[in-house]
Amino acid sequence: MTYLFLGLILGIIIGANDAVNVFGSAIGSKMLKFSYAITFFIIFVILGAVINAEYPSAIYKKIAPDYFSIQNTVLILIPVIFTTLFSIKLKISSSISQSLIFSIVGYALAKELSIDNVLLKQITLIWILTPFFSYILSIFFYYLLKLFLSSLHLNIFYQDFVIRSLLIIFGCVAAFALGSNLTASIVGIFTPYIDQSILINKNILFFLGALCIGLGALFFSKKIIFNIGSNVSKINPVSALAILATQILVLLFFSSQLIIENLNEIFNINLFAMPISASHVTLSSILGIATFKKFKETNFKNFFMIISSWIYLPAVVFVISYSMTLLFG
Amino acid sequence: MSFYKNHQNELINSINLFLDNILEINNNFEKLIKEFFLKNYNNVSQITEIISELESECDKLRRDTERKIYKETLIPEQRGDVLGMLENLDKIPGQFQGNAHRINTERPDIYVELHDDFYKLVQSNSICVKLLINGSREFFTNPQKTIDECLKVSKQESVGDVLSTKLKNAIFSNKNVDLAVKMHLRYFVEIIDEISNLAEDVADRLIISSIKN
Repeated sequence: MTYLFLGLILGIIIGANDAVNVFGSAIGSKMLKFSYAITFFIIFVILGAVINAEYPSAIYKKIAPDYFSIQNTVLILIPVIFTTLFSIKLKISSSISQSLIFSIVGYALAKELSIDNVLLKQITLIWILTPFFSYILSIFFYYLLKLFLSSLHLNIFYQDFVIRSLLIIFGCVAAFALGSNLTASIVGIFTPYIDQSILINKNILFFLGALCIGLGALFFSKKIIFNIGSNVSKINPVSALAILATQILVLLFFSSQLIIENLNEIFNINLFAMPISASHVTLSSILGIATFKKFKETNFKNFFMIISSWIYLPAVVFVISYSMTLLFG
Repeated sequence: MSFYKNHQNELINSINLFLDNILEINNNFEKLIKEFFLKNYNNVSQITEIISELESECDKLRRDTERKIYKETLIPEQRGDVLGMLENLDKIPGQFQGNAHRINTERPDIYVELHDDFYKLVQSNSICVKLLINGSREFFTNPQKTIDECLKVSKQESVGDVLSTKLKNAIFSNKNVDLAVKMHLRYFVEIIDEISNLAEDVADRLIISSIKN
């Protein structure tokens, strides 16, 4: 059961790491109190996990088709836990899904298991493209929201009420989308063994994963929440809304079976569901809005520190996973 | 779900009442001067009481509004500007109250030749305050209108300055009045003129806040 225990620990760490992506901007812009935001986060992450996590989690099964024994999942989880803790220490929100995939690849290479290289290339391409899409989308949403709010000609108190309401609604939808993504990351690694080595109902496993994420968010996310947004660029309430709208679109797009299947049918393409890095989407969106504001109040040092972590963290995970597998696998 | 309670109406009503009270104090002060020139000291006393009550109500409304905005963490972006505006606006009723009490207690010897100009100065201040209140109301919906109104406050304040200088010249050029009376009258010109100076200070801040938002 060590592997399941490690999975749950990873859930808690993910909660600490990723809650910032949903309500961080709203809390950072002082529109929502931490306690209320985390309550919404927990409820909707669990709902997202139970309703929608199964589809994007399938990717972990596909990446290394020959796969590995369930006992060896420890060798995949430990590097991910280590690097995520390291990134939290640096007050950087890292990509869990990316870490997991690189850990699996490191493990598979060390074990000389076959890897679906085509799939890996496609995933990497989407990872590279997602920040660019998020960057453009956030500018678009920021402009649209500004236009919408100014067209209402509201008193600033009513405007505040409208923005606050939208932040809660958008935050809940984003938490739902993130619930699918994050739980897929934790539970996804165990999906090949459900009903075989793991005799737990699939939905209960998703629920437990999401609950751990919620607990992690509740107890350990406060510090990182107050760091990510404000340390890169000042976030105002409308920016927070634009960031959430971008997240919802990107995360739901890549986790919804309905959307992907319809798009594949309409455009005759081969898109597939996969966990997307909410951290990358958030930072790219913050940068998009900073661009819109002509980089006033942007901290480029922190920005480059986070961007560089997108490169070295997966590399660190890969190296640890590869070395650990060679030593203990 | 206290965090989601609609505080907006409550706050808007409080702020509107606060601004209405300032206007009422302004009108009452004009009345007070008229009654003072007519030597109806009982009426002056009554109006002073009314101004004091309205001033206390303004203080209470300002405190309640500020507390609510902070407690409910409302309008985080404009909070500082709104609180600054309320605090600075609240100095105006305080000045009116002080002036009313001084006139009621000290009964300055404003001789008839000065009545017209004194009244014009009070009216000029009154216009300043009215423009400022209009600008303050617009701050919540139309910042551009606030800027326009506040620029008019500055112009009107200059009119007040001209009047107060004229009054001081008239006071000190009168050889039939004691220096003590002259000093006393000059003091009253200055404290009455202070209203438009305060209005101008608030207007300047409002212009900056409106540009920022």
